[in-house]
Amino acid sequence: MRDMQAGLPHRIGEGPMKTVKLTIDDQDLTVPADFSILDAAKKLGIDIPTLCYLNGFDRFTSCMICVVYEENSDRLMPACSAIVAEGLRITTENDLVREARKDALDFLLSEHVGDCEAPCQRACPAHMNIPLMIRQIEGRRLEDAIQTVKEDIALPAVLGRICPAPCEKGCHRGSSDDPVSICLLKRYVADVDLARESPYLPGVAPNSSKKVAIIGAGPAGLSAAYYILRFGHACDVYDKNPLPGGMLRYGVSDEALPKIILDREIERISQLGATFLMGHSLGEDLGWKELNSVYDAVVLAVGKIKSDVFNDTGIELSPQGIKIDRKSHLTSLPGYFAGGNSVSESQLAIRALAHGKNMAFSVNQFLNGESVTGPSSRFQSILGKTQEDEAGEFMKEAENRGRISPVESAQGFTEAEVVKESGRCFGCDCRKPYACKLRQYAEKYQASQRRFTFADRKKFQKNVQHGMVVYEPGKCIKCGLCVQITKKAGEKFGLAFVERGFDVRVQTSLGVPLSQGLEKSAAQCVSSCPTGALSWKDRDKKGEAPREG
Amino acid sequence: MIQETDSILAFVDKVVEGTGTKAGDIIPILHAIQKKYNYLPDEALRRVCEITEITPASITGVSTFYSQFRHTPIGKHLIRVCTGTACHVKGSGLVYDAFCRELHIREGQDTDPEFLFTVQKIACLGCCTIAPVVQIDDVTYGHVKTDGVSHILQDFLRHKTGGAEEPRDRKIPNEKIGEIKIGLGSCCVASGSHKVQQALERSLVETGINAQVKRVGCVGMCHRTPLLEVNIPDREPVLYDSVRPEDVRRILLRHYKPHTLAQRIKNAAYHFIENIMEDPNSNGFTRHPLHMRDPNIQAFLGRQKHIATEHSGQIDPLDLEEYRSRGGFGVLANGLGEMSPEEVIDQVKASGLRGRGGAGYPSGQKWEVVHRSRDDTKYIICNGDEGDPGAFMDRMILESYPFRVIEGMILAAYAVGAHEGYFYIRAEYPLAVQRVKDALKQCKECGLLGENILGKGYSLDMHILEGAGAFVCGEETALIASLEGQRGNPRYRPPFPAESGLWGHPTLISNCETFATVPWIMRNGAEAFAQLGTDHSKGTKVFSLAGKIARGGLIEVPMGITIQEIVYDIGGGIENDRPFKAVQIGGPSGGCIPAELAHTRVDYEDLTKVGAMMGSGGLLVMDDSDCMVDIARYFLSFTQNQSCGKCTFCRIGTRHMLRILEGLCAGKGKQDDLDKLEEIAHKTKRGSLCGLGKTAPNPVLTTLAYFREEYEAHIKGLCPAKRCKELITYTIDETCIGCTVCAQKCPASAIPIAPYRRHMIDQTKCVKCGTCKQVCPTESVKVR
Repeated sequence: MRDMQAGLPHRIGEGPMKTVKLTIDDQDLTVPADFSILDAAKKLGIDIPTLCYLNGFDRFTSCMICVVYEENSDRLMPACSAIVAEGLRITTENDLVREARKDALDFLLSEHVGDCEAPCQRACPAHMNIPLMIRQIEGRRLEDAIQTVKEDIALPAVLGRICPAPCEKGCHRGSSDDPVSICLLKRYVADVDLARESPYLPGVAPNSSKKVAIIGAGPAGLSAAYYILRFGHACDVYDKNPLPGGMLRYGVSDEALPKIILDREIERISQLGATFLMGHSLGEDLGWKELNSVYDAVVLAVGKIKSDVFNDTGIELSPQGIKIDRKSHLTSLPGYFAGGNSVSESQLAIRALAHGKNMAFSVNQFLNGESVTGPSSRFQSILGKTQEDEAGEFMKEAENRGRISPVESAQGFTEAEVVKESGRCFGCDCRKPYACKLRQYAEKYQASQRRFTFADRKKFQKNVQHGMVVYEPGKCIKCGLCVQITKKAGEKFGLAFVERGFDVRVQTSLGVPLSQGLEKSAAQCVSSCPTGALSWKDRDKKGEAPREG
Repeated sequence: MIQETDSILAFVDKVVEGTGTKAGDIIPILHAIQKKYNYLPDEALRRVCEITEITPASITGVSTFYSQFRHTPIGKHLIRVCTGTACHVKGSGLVYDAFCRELHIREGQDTDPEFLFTVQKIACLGCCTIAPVVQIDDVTYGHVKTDGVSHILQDFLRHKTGGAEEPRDRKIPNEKIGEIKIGLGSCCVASGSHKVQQALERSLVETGINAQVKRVGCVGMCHRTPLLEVNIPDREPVLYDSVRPEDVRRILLRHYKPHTLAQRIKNAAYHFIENIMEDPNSNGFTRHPLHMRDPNIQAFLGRQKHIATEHSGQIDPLDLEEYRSRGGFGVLANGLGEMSPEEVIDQVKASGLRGRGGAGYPSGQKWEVVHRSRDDTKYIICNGDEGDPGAFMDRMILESYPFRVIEGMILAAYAVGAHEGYFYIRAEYPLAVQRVKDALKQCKECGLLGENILGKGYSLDMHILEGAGAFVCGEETALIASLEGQRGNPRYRPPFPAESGLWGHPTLISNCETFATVPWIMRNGAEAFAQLGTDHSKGTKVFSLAGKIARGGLIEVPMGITIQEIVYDIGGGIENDRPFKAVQIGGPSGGCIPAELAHTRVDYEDLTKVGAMMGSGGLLVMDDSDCMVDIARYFLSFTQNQSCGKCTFCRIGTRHMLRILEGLCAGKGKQDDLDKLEEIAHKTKRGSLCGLGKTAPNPVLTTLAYFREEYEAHIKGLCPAKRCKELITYTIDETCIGCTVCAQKCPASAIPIAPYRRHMIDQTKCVKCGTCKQVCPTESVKVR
């Protein structure tokens, strides 16, 4: 091609200068003439997002996420590479900048091959971190596993028996042979825990001296109680029946769910401090006035709405049930939250449990005087359906054997069986779900992976040749930092860009195994990689920020 | 096996001895290895890393970046099907398919089962006027048709010689009896001028006629090559066009008497036999001499103004004495030392010359920046990496006027204070590389280059580097990266190369045409140049006029001329009198200007206003059988393929555009495709790092602006130009006479033979190659 980009006449011809004056976000400043706009902004404490930039390395100007607006030229320029000039008037964030950043992110995401969170976790209504539980089982760390389970599911032993397991329908392993037997693994974790002398009880926050009424001791109500207690608020749980459990007790056969299991898990909730007040019906012996005066918030988990008990209460109904905001579970009456079958009918107990957890989150926000939004959902890159030839890639870190069924199905898995079955997990969740800058910015700029799509995506690939590092080319954004790092570190082979255009990718030089490519600089490559393309094989290793509270 | 490895290692050692061991020597080293082995053996690459400064990372990155380099062995012969724009509109895709079918190459592969031929698509060979073009090893074939591929393969295997080698001089010609000029540009060679030259030399020996044979550069009239001009002192020169080797002897005998009686008798006999053997009505002597006053030639040349292409078709490209006798290097010889660098720059500034590479940045200003820099080390680079499909100006200039470009570079280097210069020339232009090499050698030998040039106290050394197949290296920062031995990734500007270029030093980098214009300006004065053209676009511009045009070729026109004038006055209108639909100007960075806007002037600003761009100077004419959606798809597939892949918007945006365009051409368009396409085009234009990405959307945006209804038709499953394969069907109507030619030629056996009856096409077998339509004598094959 010929050189087609018109020059910037105002730059050409300027000799070297010592300092220049410019304006960034309406603040005047003077900086050395060789500063980039990014450097200058940093001086003012202004943070500009970057992916391909790393202090101490050559500017590559690849990701284009760092663009800022320059007023005089009415242009966007990459802050990492654009050198300051006299009189520049920079705005680091406005609608144009945000749009351009979102565009760049949407493009990057359109070729991003990988899941932030595993499809099982996304499919689980309670959003349980299933892959983590499975790894803990595989590592025989059952005490960690029960914590993981109960972080999101209040009644796992119950669910382990009756859940239709929507998670397993999402499992990538399902498209090569059969999904991992997630539900039974979870049941095993819960059963082992319940069989202990003192089963797991989560820690609770300091007492807030706030009190919440929960109407209905079914799955939604019980779940709400479990999490509200953990937030440090007191809970009174009302139910019209003589015993708590709702549909779990009165709608499920004893064969499917032995009541002793239900009782034991409800007992854990009592131990956390719930008061169960049985034989009370809303609108009959439990009045609205009382609720309003005694409690700081009310959770309505009353099951399917039959009576006209909500007349004149200020709580609006829809044909399906109580009208709520889907995210926060707020009803039309402030301080009143509703979930489970009272808002729409479903046979899924896990959905009711998820509602309970989400209501607890909103109640806590409400009681703390925060804006009530419900739990925030994180950005999800989605791999989509796996393709035939991808199973081999996933299998690199999984055991190639068929799904195990418990020898005695009523008893669930044995210890030997769970270890075997957990080894089947592909581990398709990203190794950097928190440290990934691409995900962070995708959240910040509300990027969408579905805005630009390809009919056929690139193949999922995983390189596990290195003892400590995993490389997933599909998650690479071609920032080239690792290429520069290996060069600077004096690696004999190191990493290199190969091919060009849409097919450009990072590989080891001369095709040597990754272990030879990264002999000295693996740690720096992993920590500098802005995405999950390069990560530690051992997921607990440093380099990934701890899970947020 | 071990022996083989040893010999590879020994070969690499030898290569490196010649090229050097610096990081910047990587591309020549890789070229040398590939030339020997046809690909880059892994052992060779490892050896290079052992004995040079080149690292494994760098050799991996570089050898996979450039499309000329291969990492796996290929067939014995390499067939390169040109997919440049002109070739594309003339059906090169079908030609490619035809080669694959003929060689029984399986889907997804590129080499025949016997490993004799590998078929490859190549961006552009720059022989646009004889499109479609195919190159097998170093033999070029023009005007290739789908039903002619087996003939070409046979011809190649029979001859396996020819190509771009330079002719040998004959002994002691007699100047008095005149000279015979033969055009030996790449187009001419591809059209067979090399064989014509061989026939000429042979005939001269046989007849004893002692006329001088003079090879000349491009005549510009590429549509009529091979050309042969007989010049006898005191007589009107006579030009023969489309000459075949078998015509040469008769042409000679028309002008000259054989030398001796014996030869005269022999010739008479030859004549007699030839007349008997040949059917005078078909394959006989059908070439007519053209006098230079022929109205067609007058029209073709009349509106032109030759500055960069001065003495077009008259001078031997490598005859330094002749070049000097016509004023070449005159300013240098007289002026250097007397004229200060500032005075040279003032002249260039006053001339109003703007960069001919595309952006049109004022040359004088650029020179001044480099001149003013206090750095002791400065460089000068000639950008000859003409990658635009459909453009061949740089090739023609370098092949035909190497001394002129060198002269311009010396003047520029003197003005800015550079003492080292580089030619960066596409590897697809071997003849240009060879001529520049020879010209540089001659210049060094006679003191025009090197230490203390012409005794004026100024020194300049010049080198040449071949590219390796990367369009993006035409972007100046990418070209510099390539010269430094890196992947051709552009970088953010500023700093511009004029401030910080090659190895971080101030660098004047300009296109060949810009340099070729400078000697004229210096000789004739800035005023003379500035008188030509428009207010802001001065002088002339060289275009390669190709596509559906009656008289295609290399033309140089004054700025300000309209597209209409170029197409009709110079080009003689549309080929076969079809309706004029549009011109594509500026290649993959430019746009399509519809016939309604043909009054647009050739002017940097005017062209930009209509969404196109002066850009490359490729000027491709299209008729009603060209589909605008297909053209947009064609360019996007090119730019997408040539993107370096560094920045997000170009790497991914061009791919998304291509995906939508491919869908449209395949009849899978959706209603919101056009909005999405436009959106992505604007975003890619705005967000990309370099000129490639910033201009890649232009072909899409202009066709969307001017031919939106064609896009809409595609969404409905119709291709109005009847071009998009998936949207058309071939049928044979009732006028079929049952001659069976189509059935015999059909490569897919989709037409059952039915003598004297109307033939039918089996649509399930039809591959839509168009062969039946080409061969049908009664035009009974219809496309719907």
